Amino acid sequence: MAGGDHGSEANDTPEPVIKSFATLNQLQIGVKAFVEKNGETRKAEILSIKQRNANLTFYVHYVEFNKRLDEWVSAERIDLSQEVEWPAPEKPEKKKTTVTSKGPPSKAATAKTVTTTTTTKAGRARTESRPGSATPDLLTAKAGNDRKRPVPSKAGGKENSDGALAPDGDPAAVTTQAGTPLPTLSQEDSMGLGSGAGGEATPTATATATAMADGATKKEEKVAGIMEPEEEIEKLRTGGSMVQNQAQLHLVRNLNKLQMGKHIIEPWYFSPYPHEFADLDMVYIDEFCLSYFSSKKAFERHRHKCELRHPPGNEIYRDDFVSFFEVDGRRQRTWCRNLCLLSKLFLDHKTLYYDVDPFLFYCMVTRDEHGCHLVGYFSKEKDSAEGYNLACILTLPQYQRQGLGRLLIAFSYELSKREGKLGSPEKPLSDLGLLGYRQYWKEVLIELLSDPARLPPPGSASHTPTIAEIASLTSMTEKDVHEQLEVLKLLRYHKGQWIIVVREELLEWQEKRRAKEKEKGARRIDPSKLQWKPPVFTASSRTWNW
Amino acid sequence: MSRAAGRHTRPKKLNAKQNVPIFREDQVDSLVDYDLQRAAIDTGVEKAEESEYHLQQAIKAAEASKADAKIKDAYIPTPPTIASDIQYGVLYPKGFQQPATYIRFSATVEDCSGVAYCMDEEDELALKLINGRLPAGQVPCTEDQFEEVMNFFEETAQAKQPFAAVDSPPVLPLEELQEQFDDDTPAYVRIFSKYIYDHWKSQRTATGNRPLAPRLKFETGQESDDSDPYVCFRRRELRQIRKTRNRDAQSAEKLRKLRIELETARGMLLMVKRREMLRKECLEGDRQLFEQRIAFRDTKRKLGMKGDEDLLINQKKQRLPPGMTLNQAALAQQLRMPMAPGPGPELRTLEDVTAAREREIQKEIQTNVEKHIRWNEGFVDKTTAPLTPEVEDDYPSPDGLFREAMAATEYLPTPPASISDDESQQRPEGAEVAMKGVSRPPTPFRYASPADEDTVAQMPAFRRRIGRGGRVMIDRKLPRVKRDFPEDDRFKFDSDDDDEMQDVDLQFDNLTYARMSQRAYLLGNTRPTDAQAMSARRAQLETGGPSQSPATVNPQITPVPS
Ligand SMILES: [Zn+2]
Repeated sequence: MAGGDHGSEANDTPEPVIKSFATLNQLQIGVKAFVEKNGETRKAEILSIKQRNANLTFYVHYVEFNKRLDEWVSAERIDLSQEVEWPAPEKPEKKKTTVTSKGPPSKAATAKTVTTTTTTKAGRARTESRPGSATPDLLTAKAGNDRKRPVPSKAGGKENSDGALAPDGDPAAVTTQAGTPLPTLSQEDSMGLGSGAGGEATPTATATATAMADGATKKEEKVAGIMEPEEEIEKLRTGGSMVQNQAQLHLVRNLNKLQMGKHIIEPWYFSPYPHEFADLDMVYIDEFCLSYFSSKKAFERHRHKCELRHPPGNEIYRDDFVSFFEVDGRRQRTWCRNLCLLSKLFLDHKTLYYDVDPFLFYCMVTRDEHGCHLVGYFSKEKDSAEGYNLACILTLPQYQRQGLGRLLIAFSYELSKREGKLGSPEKPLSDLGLLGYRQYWKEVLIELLSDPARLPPPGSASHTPTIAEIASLTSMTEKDVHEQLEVLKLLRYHKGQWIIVVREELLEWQEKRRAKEKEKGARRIDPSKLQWKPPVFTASSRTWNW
Repeated sequence: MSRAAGRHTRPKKLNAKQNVPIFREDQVDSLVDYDLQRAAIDTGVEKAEESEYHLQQAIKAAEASKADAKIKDAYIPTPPTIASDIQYGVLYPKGFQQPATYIRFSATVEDCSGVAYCMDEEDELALKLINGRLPAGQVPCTEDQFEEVMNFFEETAQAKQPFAAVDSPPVLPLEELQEQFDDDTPAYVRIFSKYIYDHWKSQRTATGNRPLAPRLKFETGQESDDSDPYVCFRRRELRQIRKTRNRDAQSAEKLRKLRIELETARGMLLMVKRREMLRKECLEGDRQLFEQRIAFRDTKRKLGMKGDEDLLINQKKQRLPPGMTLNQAALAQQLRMPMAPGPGPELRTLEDVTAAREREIQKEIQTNVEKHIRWNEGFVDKTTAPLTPEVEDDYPSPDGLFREAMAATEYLPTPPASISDDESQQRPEGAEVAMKGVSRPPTPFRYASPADEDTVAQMPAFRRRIGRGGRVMIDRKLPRVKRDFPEDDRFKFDSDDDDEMQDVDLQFDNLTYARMSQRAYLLGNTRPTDAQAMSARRAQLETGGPSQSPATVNPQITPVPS
């Protein structure tokens, strides 16, 4: 926790970072300043600026912290006694392209600009790495012939990823920067972001947009006045704050609080709920149908009429503790869309770019006399070309840290076992996803490797498993098995041969876990309670025809 | 690497099919004999996030399960969740009962949420004002009713101005909305619409005449979609284009076929048109000829001329004119028939032939029936659906019993004399059968066994009675059609795949009423009188006959003057 002064620079451009002292009014989007967080100062990047009653508030992202900790901070929390980092200007050779392509906001220009603007985002580790992996779909579609762009291999092949998984799920972002021509932007720059409507060309947004534009221009003037002329030119040319304005709309959390069931939840990330919802104090979610309401009265009226008491699909698993429902995205479009909107609030990498049709949603609920309460779910492609057995997984925040994620993961593998397939979750994983999976894999592998009943006694000559056998026993892919054996440091090269050494430490760990389970009661998936046959879909229902 | 353990070569890559023996820690040298410079394992997490502080701490904690208790509790912090003070029990009332079996469910959110419009605080206030201003005697509008009216406005506006969000047309006037009332519109919607309209209009005006409920942004097909993070749930077309070339080819082929068929149809219509034009010309010619002849005749009479009578009629042509086809010739022949000279001595009328045939048929039937009875004398057929069912009635039956009107179709010869096709079964009128050529035994006997009871029972029957004063009464007994609905297509709506439905021609026949009555009958069997009336109505509907109650219930008496 020694302050975020380092590390992220690793993937920054080698160009020297421009640092200097700044005044509050000079702060612009893209600037990195030190911000007080939990009693210490951390470097944070300003993603948005809002003016409320002459007070500026800043939406900041703490370097090296997950985006879910991004927050609005008041000016007092920014430590201006330390130098701030300015967003780096574009590189000269890129400038050319930018200039040419940024001329008219023509469609043709859009494709080109995608590359230029994104690559010029030096000085920002996060955004920098992102554009590179921005949604493959868009890139292939719009800038398909652009070879310079590093498209991650896996994601590149995959266009859908409801789950997520188009790296960083902000396709829109990338193109925005490009798609929005500079001239228009300069009007409504820096202030807009927080409103959530910033820069949108929709008629309803116009009122706010103009208002913001005014404020923005004022500020622009102020800033301009302070800056050196060449600096100003540089700023205009690179379009730092202005371009980001729109590009990073999605980087700023748009909902403040959710009322759902018995809980009030703080969203973590942006989700494309109706833009009227942005900056409301509270959004109301019906716990059963997941419909969303901006008005408490409307929500109450809806509850008065709503008859749904469980996910609208077939129950395929039931034990004393939970049930699982299988919901088809094609048949239950509204419900599944509602679910995706909700889960996007907690899954950074999920993209709602595409519709829900090609997915099945496996929803875990707990039951009481009110109904079946959704506690988590995972989505799964009806037909995954890459062999993924899970696209997106979420335990709702109000139910986290109770081991429910593990149940979801276990269930996904149970389905794979029933299908007779090996499976792996779609990438990228979130941080929580990675931890959850590693924990599950560890349990499963140690359990298997230490269980004399399932494997021959350790060291016995009669049988030694292969990675492939372990995979088929666990429904994990061979790659995952191999990698996790490595992660757990179980593989050793001994006398010219690979062996698995079950470390004592891990056996102890297992004992401890089992004792705890005994005490608290183990929550496991009982395969005999799964009433499910792998669904078969015709080609047309698997795809996305309407 | 090599310096770590000189005696070993670099290990071979582990193959998935390779056996890997398992050991406990104490079974092998604690010495690591090959310090593997392990390649970093791909976490699967986005590169930019992999280095995040809390994640790294947590990964370390997981690895250092025993050694370092200090960082064991490392976790990834998340924003807090707190308990809400809403009245949960009121909003989400109890009463859910878990069925014993696993739930199967297919209703959608829309199916389960009642009236879509949900009033907000502003509406609540407006409703109060509206109710305060209602004319005396008018019952105030409830929230449910208010929502229904608003919903009606919203839905109608959506139907009439589907692109309101784009082109912002003026808000629909009340009159236009009211035009959309139909029989299903509840009375209160009609009544309250005029009071609530102003509120609705002001709400719509305030939002640029867009739908009042907050909506998601869907793709509009414009370039700006891509840059708008609010646009979500796009249709996936890119992949479809790529993946379904084969299907495209099929579609193209289908289109080509359709086009050819349409062109053929068009060609046929053009020819029909030409034919009709020719016909018209022909008729005009005929008419002209006729008029000329009249003029000719009049002139002749005026001038007292004789002869040339043959010019007044068309001459019978012995040979086909070269341009004429057989059909046309036949047609011409037919048309000329009435003009032909009077009947020759050997010509019989159609009626004579028909009558003779009918007599023959009746005779044969009777012989067969008698033969049948003789054959069965002293025997009782105990089979369930005998080939030759017990003759319930003598034929001809004495007065006082119902006689089936078209009995001939139902009596069986013994043994079956011949096999006739279904077609003849459906043509019970002897005359018609007789017309169909003589080579075939004209009697339309059934050959299928068992005779299904439906058909047997379906014959309308009559009986004649002589009442007081010599009045002759005919009692009618019309069949009561038993309907099952084998063609009930409802299951198709439950089909797994919508696409399949495209190929199925759903037939919504006119049974709907009958079906409804049937249901009503089943439901309402506690009220027999109603049920009777219902079934009577149904029978009538299905036979298409005039109003009468089925004889099974109560034979109707129709006085016939004798
Ligand atoms: Zn609901």
